[in-house]
Amino acid sequence: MDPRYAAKKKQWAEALDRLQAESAADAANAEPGQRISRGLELSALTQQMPGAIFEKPLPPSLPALYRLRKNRP
Amino acid sequence: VRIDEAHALVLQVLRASAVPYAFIGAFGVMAWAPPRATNDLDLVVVADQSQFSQLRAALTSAGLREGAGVGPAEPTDTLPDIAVFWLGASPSIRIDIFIAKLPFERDVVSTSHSISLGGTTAKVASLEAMLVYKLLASPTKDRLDIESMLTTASTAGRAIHWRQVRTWAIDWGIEDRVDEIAPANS
Repeated sequence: MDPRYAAKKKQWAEALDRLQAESAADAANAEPGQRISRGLELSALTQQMPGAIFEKPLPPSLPALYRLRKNRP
Repeated sequence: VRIDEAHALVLQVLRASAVPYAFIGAFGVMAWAPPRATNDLDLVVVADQSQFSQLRAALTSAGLREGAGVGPAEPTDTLPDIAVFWLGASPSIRIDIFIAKLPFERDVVSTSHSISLGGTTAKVASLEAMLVYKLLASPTKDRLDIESMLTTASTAGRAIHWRQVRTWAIDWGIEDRVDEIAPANS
């Protein structure tokens, strides 16, 4: 592995661990906005993760799901 | 584009449009549980055809691209159930906008909480609404979100309005799932 890539990955992992630990430690005391701000920071950091791949399927239509559940036997 | 930049931009457009909204998805969970990373934004809006057209134009003017959405499930409906927008490239941020069609979705917006966020305010779905969304979805990640929200509420001494959770769950026909997570006497 390219040493520069390895160093960056290590740096990223350490920062992510630190942020996650801090976030978990004071989650119960933090205000919702503080948690979301931390979450945004955490997410931005994750975006920068070397080799990160982000894919998520589209969510289901709630009206379709509702109709399906209401029509079930 | 960073997700925090995308969030700020979408929030700015929403506030300017005056369309009632609430953040759901990961941001809804993070309001009530320890933060976790996410790479998209999910929100529900209450808008008719004209209001949604204005919101769509405002989002597009702000640099978002509209992609393929979901629905409508009802053929006579003119609005998608979920409008999907994208911002930036490499990586693009996806913004899923659920257009409220069901009473539950309208309730989610009307019972949302205003929170302070980076010098401004944002609306997020209530803890009770987020529990119902996650009970509806049910896969492993969503169950972990539920545990995380329940643990945080317990530690923080925050009461959960189980009657509200049950009312919504009964309408969806998933009251058995509430029984799995609610205290016996709730």
